[in-house]
Amino acid sequence: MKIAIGQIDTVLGDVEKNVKKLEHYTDKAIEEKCDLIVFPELAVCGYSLRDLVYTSSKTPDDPAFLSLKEKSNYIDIVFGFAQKESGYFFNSSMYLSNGEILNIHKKRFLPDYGMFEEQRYFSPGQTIDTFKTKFGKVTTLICEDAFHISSHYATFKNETEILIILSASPFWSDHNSMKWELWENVCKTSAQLNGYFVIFSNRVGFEDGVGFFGKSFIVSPNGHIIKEASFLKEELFASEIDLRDIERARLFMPIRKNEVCNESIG
Amino acid sequence: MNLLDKLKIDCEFISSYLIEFVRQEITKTGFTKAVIGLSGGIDSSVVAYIAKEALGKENVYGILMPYKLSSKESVEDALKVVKDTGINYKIFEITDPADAYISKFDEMDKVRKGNIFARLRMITLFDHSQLYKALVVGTSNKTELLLGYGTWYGDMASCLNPIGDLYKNQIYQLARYLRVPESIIKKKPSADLWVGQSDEEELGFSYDEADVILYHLYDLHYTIEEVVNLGFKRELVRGIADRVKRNQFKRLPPIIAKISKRTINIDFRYLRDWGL
Repeated sequence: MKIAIGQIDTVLGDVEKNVKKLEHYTDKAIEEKCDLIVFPELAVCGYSLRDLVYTSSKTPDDPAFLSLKEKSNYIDIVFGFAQKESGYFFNSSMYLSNGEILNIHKKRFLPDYGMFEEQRYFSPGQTIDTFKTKFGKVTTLICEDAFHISSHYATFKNETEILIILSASPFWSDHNSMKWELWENVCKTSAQLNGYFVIFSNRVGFEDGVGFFGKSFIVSPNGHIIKEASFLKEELFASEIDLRDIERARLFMPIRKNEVCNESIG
Repeated sequence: MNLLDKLKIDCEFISSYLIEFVRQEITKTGFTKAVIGLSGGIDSSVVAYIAKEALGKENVYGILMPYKLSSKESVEDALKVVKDTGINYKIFEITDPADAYISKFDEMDKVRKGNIFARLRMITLFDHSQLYKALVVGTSNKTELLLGYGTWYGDMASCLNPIGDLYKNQIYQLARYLRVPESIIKKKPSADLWVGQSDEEELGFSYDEADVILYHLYDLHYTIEEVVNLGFKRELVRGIADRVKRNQFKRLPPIIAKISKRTINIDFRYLRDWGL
């Protein structure tokens, strides 16, 4: 299986321009014979929307997404968008396959500390779902979702095989840490403890001085980074993975074998 | 651990980050050029090296704006940066306009004069912004922004600022990494607003002390008492914390009286990069 990550910059609040960019990179990924392309969080509208949430949010059946749906006959596509529903807004991801919406995940944990103000504008999702795709069982998380142990418990309980994380993660650093180390640690650990692939798709570009660092990557079920994209650069990043590695990793470390999952958690 | 070690930055990543910041935040507005006030000091020198990498030397304009009493060394050092980076430059003396204004008063203290110089330089930079179709890149570091050690709408004014989240100590680290001329790194920091001015003498503490205290108070959320326990005098820590509070106004746009249901910057909330 060949996975592509569209590590893109976005135009703040301009859905039309951003969707065009998604279409462009999707076409390139199809040319490169990729099976799946993953774009970042809020890829069709930009991250720090503030009051632009009201005009940049779309329903999943909006005509803006028609062309991407059509392209999903040739490649599975995952992207983040601001979702409008009954007058409320969600930070969501859409998984398209065979011309249809296979899943929508509404971000469950909306950060509202430090520089973040997502909870001011968005309503939280209620569930973390795992769904069947042509490649196996997939769970999508959006950025902050992945910092919550309960999300990883859900993927564990649901026997996820590919965890997809869409992110708009801003850069910061201090004398003993770089922001991406946090992501690498979380994703490697999750992959290792669950024996699944993790695809981390992060955006690039600046919004009023806040820089999204990129460095998207894919982690193997053994917890190794297979390939990592560049720091700050927009690029289409593609890598082959062997889905049999999931089974191999679980044979080597059959962690879930002796676990009775508690249905009330996760 | 030396307390200053906590301010260590990875110069390779930070410089490439700042280069991308300058390139992207300028080009997405439709501009391709930058104008920078070059004082011969460490801050504007570092910004010039970053801007040159971001936009290319032909797209960067360094403007030297000495007053008749400015030190010769300042101009010489600024010219070293021009020569080393290959950026465009212009020497625009502010003596005539400054003296024309100052002469309208019988007397004027040095703080007022310093503010006038800083604001005349701001006028010059923004005029050249229009002349060259270039954005003004700011050169205020985090230490002076927090201390309020700058002139509001003077040297604090710019379109974008790559170094506003770096303490003075971190500017020195970056300067060494970017190979800013040694004479600029070695000399004592000075706003050069009057003869013999020294930042550290005027402030009453060293930049290293200020950086460590500010970093612990605001980046690490230490209490004043906890910072005192690191080995600083209580009056010094309190004095610095007071300065930060007193100068909050300088770091924000003017406040607006709320009347309507949707007031600019209160509940009319958009980033500047709206649509960019």
